[in-house]
Amino acid sequence: MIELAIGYLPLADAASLIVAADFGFAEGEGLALRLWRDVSWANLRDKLLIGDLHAAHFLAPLAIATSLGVGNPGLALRAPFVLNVNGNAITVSPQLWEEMSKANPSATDDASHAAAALGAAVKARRARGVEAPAFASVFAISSHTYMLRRFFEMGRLDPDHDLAVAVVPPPLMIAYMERGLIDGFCVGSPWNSIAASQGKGVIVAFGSEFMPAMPEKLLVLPEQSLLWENETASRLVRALDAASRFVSDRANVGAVAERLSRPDRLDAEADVIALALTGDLLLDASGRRRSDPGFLRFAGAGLNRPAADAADRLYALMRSAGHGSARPGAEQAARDVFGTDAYDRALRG
Amino acid sequence: MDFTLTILLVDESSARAAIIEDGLREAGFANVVRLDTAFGLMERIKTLDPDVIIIDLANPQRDALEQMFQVSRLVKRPITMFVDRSDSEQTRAAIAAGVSAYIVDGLEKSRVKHVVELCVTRFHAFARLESELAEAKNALDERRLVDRAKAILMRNKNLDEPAAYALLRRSAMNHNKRIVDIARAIVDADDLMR
Repeated sequence: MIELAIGYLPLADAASLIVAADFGFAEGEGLALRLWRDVSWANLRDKLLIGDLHAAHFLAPLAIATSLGVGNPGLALRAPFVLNVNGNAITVSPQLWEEMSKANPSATDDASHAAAALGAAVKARRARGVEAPAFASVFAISSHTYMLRRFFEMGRLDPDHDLAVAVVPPPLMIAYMERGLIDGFCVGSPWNSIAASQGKGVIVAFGSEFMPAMPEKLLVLPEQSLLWENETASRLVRALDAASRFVSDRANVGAVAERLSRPDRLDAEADVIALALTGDLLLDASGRRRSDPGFLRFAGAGLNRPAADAADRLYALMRSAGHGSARPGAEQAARDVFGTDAYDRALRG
Repeated sequence: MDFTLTILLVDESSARAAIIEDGLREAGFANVVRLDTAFGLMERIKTLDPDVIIIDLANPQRDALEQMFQVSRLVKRPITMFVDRSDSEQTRAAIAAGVSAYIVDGLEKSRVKHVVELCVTRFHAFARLESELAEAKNALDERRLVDRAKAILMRNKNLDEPAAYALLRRSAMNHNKRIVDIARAIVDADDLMR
């Protein structure tokens, strides 16, 4: 058995990694995964840097930024496997929801109507001389930030001037909103469902509705890792491939949700985690629901295979948010993170 | 040494933060501010405008600090992580100790090196103290368990204390277990029989 230390944050999109470790998929490839649950992306990055971790569950745009040395410190990363696509949602406070649905009664319909309602609510606030609502993302360089920016644009708001986006760690989002420090947030699963089920937030948009096919978390290894040389990375990719297919099989939702719910994993209620896995979400405490089978996807249609066009799309989003690099060849460096070689080598034949 | 540096300590463990603050003050740093709540971190940084921010790695707010690498208009001076590339051992030691440091951009690294070293040392000392406390508490719990098991044996088998203890010890030896494990089994069984 080859022992690997792999870091993750307690989110539903770590499911394939957790299932690979806990359901025997890694063992089948001769790997013993020692999973390390952490509290911040910065910690995972630093532990990769000093070699405490062999690999990590990682924000896709942050993998590119870390490789480019945007932010500090830089470390060249490679992602042999895309862990999931989408899974984020935008939630607002009950008070902002009231303003939104008053400004535009069709806000309940879908993401674009909700965005229009937000635009109208912000303008109504401005007319009353009330300051614009404050939103939060989970990390500056993240799909969550880019989704909020796109959502604002859909509501004809300027993401650089009309609204501020702060960074708040997911476990603190609800508390921040209750204290009135923020009025809405974009976060991964199961945090939106937790807010909605407690009546503390209203889910207004799924990321899958307006930015589909967004690579969300990657499994990353340092470019300099020794694991590339001796087939270990290939074994890891194969274990994750099998685990991903297990996770995306509807028949396994109960078992996967139960495993993720444990105190040493996500430490959240299995029922709430299952909502995200099925894409059938409770939007608020009144029991309104919205269902999208593409809400959070783990496997199928080649989504696990890293691809240059995904890197291009992500890097374009980073640049428009001012997270790009001035360094020549930055686009190619972003594509290098999403190189297909390791994935293809592991799964060919 | 530059004792005029303004140092912000962000630590959810107020006991540890107090120990670190004492250490910094003893070393001569007068401008040390502690923040042990999850709320208002950014506002505090904006008003305090610190030269150095020390944060414990168990604090999820680290990701909020990272934002200041990119969105520097939130603060007067952009902030970068303290990584001394000439001394990666120090980075490793800091992470192993569970601490990370951020400094305002452009600040000479040598000016903060001592601050970071001092915090790393104090973090280690605190971890040692905590594990000693946990050990002491564990030892006390184990002694209580053995005392309860002895009392049960004395009552049920009509033994005096030395005989009860001898029985425990013999049983532990025969089963190749620790005395405390036998004691726990006796206490559990006794609870069950009540």
